[in-house]
Amino acid sequence: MTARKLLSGLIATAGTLALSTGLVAAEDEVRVAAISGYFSQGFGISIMQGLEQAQADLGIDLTIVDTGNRALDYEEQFNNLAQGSYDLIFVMGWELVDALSKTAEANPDTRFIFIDGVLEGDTMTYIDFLEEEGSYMVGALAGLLAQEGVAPFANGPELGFVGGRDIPVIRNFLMGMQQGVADNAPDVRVVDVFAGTFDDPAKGSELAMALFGQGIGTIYQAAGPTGEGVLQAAAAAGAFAVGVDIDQCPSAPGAMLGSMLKRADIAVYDVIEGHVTGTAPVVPGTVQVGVASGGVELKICEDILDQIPQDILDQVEAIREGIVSGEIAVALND
Amino acid sequence: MEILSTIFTVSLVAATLRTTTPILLVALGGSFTTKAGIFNIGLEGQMLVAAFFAVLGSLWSGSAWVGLLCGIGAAVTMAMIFSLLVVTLRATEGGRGRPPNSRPGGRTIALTTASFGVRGSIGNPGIVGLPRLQVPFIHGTRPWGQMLSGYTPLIYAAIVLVFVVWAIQYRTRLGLYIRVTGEKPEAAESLGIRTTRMQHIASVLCGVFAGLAGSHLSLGYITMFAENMSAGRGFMAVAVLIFSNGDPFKVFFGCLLFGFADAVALRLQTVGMSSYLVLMVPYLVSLLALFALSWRQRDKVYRTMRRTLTASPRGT
Repeated sequence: MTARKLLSGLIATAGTLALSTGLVAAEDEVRVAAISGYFSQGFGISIMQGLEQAQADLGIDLTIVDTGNRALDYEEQFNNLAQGSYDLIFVMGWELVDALSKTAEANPDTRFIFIDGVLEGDTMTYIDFLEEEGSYMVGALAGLLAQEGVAPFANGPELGFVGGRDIPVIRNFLMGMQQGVADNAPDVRVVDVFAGTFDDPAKGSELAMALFGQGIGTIYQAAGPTGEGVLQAAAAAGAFAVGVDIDQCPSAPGAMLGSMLKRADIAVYDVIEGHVTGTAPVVPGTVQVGVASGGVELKICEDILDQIPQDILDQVEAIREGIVSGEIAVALND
Repeated sequence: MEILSTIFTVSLVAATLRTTTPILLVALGGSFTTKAGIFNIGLEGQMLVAAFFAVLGSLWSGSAWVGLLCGIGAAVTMAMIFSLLVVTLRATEGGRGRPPNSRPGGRTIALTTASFGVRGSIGNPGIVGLPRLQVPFIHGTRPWGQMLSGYTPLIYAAIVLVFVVWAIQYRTRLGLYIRVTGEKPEAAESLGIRTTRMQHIASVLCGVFAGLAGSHLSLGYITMFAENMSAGRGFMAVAVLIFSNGDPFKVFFGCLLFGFADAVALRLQTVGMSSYLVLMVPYLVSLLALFALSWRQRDKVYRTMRRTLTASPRGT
């Protein structure tokens, strides 16, 4: 971690570094490409940071392909990449899956790395975030606050969960949270609801209002844009929400307990580093990124941090260490 | 009993009004086009575009009311394009309705990217939402206050507009002309009513309401824009229109029933019922009820449905 923090300080000088590595471009320089339509927001920004950091201190040759909104030439873009003799090609975005699968099948030796999901096809590499580990920590923190009745977060022995659709990946978030609650705050119960869609923030807010109206103090959402309605409802109700994927603390200041982050920057950097140094060359299969590498993390929002008792913070930190060491195993029971 | 008392609370009334309003507003707009004999499948798209421009207007001007006007303007523009294609150029409604629906999805994505450099959603703190109205005297923590006060203005407006729409359709010459145009176009022509003009007027009126609905969604219900945030409400309104034949009070009944069933359904989830089962309930309940209500006019309903299905040869 410390090395990484040092490096992030170097980001400011990344431009010059990139320039100098460009000048000494050797024949065996690792060529990395990344393709997505989302580089300018949320998760995509995080991916860009990881790529740029790798460019700055590992001296890779980096190509960014922004798909924009041109669904028709996805396949063409992938074919161009496959013929570009890249060592690693990062892909993010579910709308690209069809084109990716076709291209990967036709070019089994090209190393496509799909970020945040496991697909069919055994020639690709998948970065799979262990969201259940981070969700376990969310459950532990919110559960402890509810069990000990810490104002203003707790409002009775129940916590809420709002999911997008009721599908396995969203269930992973819920199961992690439930385990975190059960292990650390056995008197607390999780009430879970699903919006049936990821696109409907109004529905998310309506679901959250129903939960808050039943006396629930904190809701964890894993529902994409639907979940942003949950955050707004928390702010309106004077209650709390926990965000997901990216740092959502700024979305509803004062009404956010924390955010369960998927640190794509760390995941991407680690994969490139392993490949460049040869310690972990990228092969087809699944790379699991969890709390241990810092790729999944619970961020407690800074503006409310001082309202959380120190002993609960200590317990949550102990839980994090337990997950890292393997003492606490978060299992998916399906 | 405990379950019943969890579900049937004062907040259920509030939730029903909230879930009803967006669909009711857009369906009231569709009532004009239905009466004028246009099958308007473009409601969803008009609503979405309005939601987007309302947020844009609010963000740039700092006023929710300017945002509302921008939303209405955008929806009316869409409605005019729709009526130009359908009425003047006589394209099939389904065939023309499909692109105006499917394109706003992509267009708003392109526009969000162009205006904000992001995709997905705009949740900028600079978006000014519509104010919540505190009704004098009854506002407070008592049940009546909770039930009747503290909503955004368009929720009250929607209910008033049910009566306004009825009055326009049944108590004005314009309303009469629009209805005659839809029911007996030949008779209307022979009376010297310019049916194409009536259909254009109905389309524009529809756009105004779709604009209100979309703006309500992104500035009233919540204050943000997300891709496809209309989430099928426009299509639900189309279904209500088919079964209600566009009668304002039947439209109101259908939307209210849907809103109520929706509000109950999401509370059923909190007591542990499966989301798959529960999420389908509101659609089922309101469509069955409306179908029962229009049993005597079922031939007309079948005709409209057949027209809908055959009018989109390219399918969706």
